[in-house]
Amino acid sequence: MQLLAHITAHLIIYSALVLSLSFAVSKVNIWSVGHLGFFGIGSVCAAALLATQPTLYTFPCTVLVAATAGALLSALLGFATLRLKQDFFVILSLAFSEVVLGVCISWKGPAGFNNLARPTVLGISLEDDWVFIGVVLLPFFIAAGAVFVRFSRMRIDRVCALIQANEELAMVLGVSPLYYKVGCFCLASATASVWGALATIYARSTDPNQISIESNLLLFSALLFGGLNSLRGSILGGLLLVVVPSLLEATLSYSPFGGNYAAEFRQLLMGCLLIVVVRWMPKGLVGATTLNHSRGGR
Amino acid sequence: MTDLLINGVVIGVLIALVALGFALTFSILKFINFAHTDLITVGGYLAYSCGRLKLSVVPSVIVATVLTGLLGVVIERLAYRPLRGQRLSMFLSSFGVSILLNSSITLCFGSTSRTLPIAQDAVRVAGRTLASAEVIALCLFLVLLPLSWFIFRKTQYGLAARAISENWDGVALLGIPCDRLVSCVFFVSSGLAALAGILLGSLYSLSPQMGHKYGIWAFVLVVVAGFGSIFGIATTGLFAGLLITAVMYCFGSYTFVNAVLFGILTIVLLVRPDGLFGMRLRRF
Repeated sequence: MQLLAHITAHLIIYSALVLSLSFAVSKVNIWSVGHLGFFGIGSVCAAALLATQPTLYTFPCTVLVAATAGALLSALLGFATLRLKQDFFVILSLAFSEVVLGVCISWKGPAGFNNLARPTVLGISLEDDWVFIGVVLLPFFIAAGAVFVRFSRMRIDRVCALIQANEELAMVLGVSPLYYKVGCFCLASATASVWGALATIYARSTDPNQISIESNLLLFSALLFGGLNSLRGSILGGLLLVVVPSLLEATLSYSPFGGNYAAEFRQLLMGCLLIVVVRWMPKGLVGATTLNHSRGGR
Repeated sequence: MTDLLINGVVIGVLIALVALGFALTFSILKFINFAHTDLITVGGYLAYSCGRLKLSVVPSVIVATVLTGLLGVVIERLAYRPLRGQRLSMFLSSFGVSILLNSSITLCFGSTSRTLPIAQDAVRVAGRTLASAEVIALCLFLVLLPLSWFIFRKTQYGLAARAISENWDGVALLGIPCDRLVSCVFFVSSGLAALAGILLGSLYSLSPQMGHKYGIWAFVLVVVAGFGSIFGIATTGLFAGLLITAVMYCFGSYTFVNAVLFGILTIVLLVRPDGLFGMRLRRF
């Protein structure tokens, strides 16, 4: 039961993370490959608050601080770099994630924060994993999914579609692409930070290795595999990130390799999947939109 | 102090070699080949494997460089050529190749760091003792960068390669084998990454993640310098090496190196999007 709770919690957290990345990529075409940097910011904010004053900082306060930190940093990064070419922004976002990783490691070492206390919500103790999933993770995921679906029916979504299709036309019509892009990027990043905080509260610890370049690439592969602009696609991406490694570990434990190489085999699988998806499945498994190809050298 | 200076110059020289490979592929196909960072690691580990097979130093370096160059050609043929013209898809495909190479290296050699016992004997130069790898790095820098400039500026092959980036169909109509030329460029850039990987592995250590660390520094360097300037890459490389060593000396951590480099990169991109040398020497 403990393992099942662990897998369920991680599935919800990573599905939501893929959903927030999907929002940035599919709505305003921001290829935030270093998205886990914002997850790391939320994670570190929550851990720092809970480690210093566990009784003073309540659950809503912790989540709010994480969201604000993520939104502010993404606004700074967005205004500074979103006018750049798409592939330059990709590398800069990866670089940002590396800086966050470095700060995390320098602060608390490679092991990160440990033995954090879980705060209570409305007087309900969250010590039991299933209670935490039912009271915190599931409602947050449903809210994130509802916002994502509702956004697709709003006027702002059509403005974003216009910006993606023709930025010059949008500017002629009085729309500022930069403000819309930064706004959506802030929303996606703040959501990632919130999920970072929730993951830390759930695990009672932080793991800086979660925001390495390899993890960022795996997250992005999961998004493309599941499909862009789709709630179902994000859940499939989360499944690929959480359930497949567990299955691989279980399968490999019966093979000559043993279960120790599950992480490497998962990477190998994701690398192959990414190449296959980009070449033959530009919509992913259940995506609503294809990769937005920009023409370059032949 | 002099040791720090030499260390900075050597790091700068090696990053400039990697950056040159980045710039070569970008200038022709107009996409960032992220897998180039892992070819640094592949080169280092291939030299390590040759050493384990009892090959001596020079054959090990030649075999590792040629094999990495051929791997670069195979990657271009299988992962990038079918996606030509779709810059973003090629870029994402290079992520897939990067993950594939990185996990394959970890599966074959494990995730622990290893030493590469190549060119580690001491050499006396101008009254100072240097590692052979440092001297070789400086010699390669002094030979390969001017040679690359000469090939890309003064020969028919260089002219054709520059023309491909401007008008592929026009060049093909003139009977120039564009695909073969692109393969040659990938062979050269991957070989440069391998040479840098071998020397970095010899001077520091080999690990599956080393390519990402040095590769991202090289990318910062090439963007700050401007993609089209070999002279700019060389100058900025030396400056970047000294800066990295100074920051490492002051703070003792790579964290601050990354923060400083990316801060500079952001400022340069905002002020001069073509890079510091991009306007004057826009193309090879």
